[in-house]
Amino acid sequence: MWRRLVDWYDDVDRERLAAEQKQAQKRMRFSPRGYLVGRLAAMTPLERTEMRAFCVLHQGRRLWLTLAALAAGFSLAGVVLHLTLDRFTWLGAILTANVIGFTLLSGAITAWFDMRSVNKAKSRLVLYCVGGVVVGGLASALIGVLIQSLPLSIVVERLPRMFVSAAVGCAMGLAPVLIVGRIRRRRHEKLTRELERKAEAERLARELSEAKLRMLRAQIEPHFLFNTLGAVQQLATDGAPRAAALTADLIAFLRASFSDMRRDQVSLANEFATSAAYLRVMQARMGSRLSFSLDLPEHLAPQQVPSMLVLTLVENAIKHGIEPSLRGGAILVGAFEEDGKTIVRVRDTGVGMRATPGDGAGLDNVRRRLALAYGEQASLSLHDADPGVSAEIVLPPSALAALPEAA
Amino acid sequence: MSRILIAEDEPLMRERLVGLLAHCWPEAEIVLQAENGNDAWDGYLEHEPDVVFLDILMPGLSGLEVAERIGDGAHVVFVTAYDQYAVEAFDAGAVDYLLKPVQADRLERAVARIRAKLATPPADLGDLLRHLKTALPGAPLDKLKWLKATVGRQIRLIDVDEVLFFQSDTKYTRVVLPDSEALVRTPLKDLLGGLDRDRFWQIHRGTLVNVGAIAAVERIDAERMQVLLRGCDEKLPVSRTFTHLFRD
Repeated sequence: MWRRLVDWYDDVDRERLAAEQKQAQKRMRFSPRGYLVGRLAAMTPLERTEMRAFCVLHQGRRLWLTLAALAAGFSLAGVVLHLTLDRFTWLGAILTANVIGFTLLSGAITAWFDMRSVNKAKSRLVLYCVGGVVVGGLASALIGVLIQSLPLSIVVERLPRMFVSAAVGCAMGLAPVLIVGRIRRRRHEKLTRELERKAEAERLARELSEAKLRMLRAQIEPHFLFNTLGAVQQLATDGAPRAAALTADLIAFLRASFSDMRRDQVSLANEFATSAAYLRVMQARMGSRLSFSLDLPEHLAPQQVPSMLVLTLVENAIKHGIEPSLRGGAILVGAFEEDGKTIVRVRDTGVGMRATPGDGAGLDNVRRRLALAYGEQASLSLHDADPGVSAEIVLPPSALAALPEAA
Repeated sequence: MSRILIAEDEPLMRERLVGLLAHCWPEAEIVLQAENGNDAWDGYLEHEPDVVFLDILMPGLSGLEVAERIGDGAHVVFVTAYDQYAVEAFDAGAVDYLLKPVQADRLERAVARIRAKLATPPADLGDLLRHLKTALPGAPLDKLKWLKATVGRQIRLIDVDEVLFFQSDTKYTRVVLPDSEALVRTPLKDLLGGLDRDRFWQIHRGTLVNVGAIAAVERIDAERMQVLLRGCDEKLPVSRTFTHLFRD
């Protein structure tokens, strides 16, 4: 039977999805199955998964064994009840104990798997109980008067006791439900928070590796490689010693790109060295149209920064500043400290911002990497430098910010 | 003898192309090695070469823009590092192109093809170029609205639309307005990329004229024409390359 329930549960879970869509069009007519579907739909995925696991665990023989054990336990309690209180018959005591036991159990199970509605309806539950106590007390008084034909004075005299016993009964039923609900809510909240944290960390890690991959792809685009290899080939054809130097710079640049790709953070010294190799390659290709300088104060050299950031700005300056410029220009890369913050500046004297629409992907990537590493504490800004553009990265005082582990 | 113009912004790539051409087409004369699109167009007007090797990504006018201006005036070979997409477009348009870095065997084949074509008039690539210009990355230059010109000790701001014509004056450009004129420090070849081609017609290597200011065109003889302007007595000669602008 339980197996059928599990199958049915899966079935219902599928139906739930359909029902969620259908609900928008018209409310489903009431049916036990529809009701269950609705209840399941109202649960969180976590709750549903747990409930399904519970159903799977307690199916088949195991269910009957559990039920039998519980029934035996409750019956034993009934025997004890009979022996201690002399008011119940054997059968009555055992039946009462079983009814109460299974009722409490089902209440607890409901509270366990649907604690959000239990917690939400807590005040309503209490209200029902109070109502139950009142109604129960009055009903037993009425029974006393009408059926047992007790005198009214005795009934009135007994009334407080009846209320108290009804209240005790209700409290006994309600307490486990509320307690279970509460415990479950705490656990559930913790679990949800944990899951959310994990999902967030995963998302960050994924975004980080995507951002790095995009940067790498931008760097070793075929355009760059082919043109550089062409330059090497020409120098080699002429037997120029510069061929070896250019090859060395290309190797240094490619090696740094690939190894930085695998790291989240590198030292500024590292970034400047990679940028220098890149600029030397570009200078070999562009000749007198490009000049450059790099200035990194010694005390900032070990500072950690997200990898490939400076390089991306330098490439941007070449691509959008110097390459489109008729007379070429200079690129000045520098780092300095201001108000305890580290500022990395890449300035070019190229064509300027207006002439180069769509700075686009490269800078977006830099912004995303900064946001991933430092949140709001870091920024990238572009300024008109006349001539050219100045790009500035501001890094927080201790740029050793906690980074999500790379996947 | 064939005359060749090469336009390529990277010096080593330029050297490479020149060296390989000397090897596989020794009879040809390289009349100019331009290092940007503006020089390429200006050099084309000056030297009227038979074959033009154009890099696509260059400072100033792009290779595509230069080819568009050349029209059917010369055989064009594109030299490009653009990948896949451009190659497909070139193949579809039956355009001659070389992939960078240029390799000797590929260049030999291209040269053979061009030499076979030299006897026939060059094809006009207009449609293909317009398609490529929109499809390939690299935005066209911004259009100029204002010019800064030095007049005596003043710097004047000139609204481009008011200009009657621009005339090249070595390193400067003479800007003529209805009631005055000024000198701009930019050579004409570097100015024309930023001007609207439909509004300012180039009628000579050294002259751009505002179409709205043209009063009439005069025929001097079978080959030569000149433009008469509204609000100005100067007559501007139209060079042979541009007389087609005024033919029906």
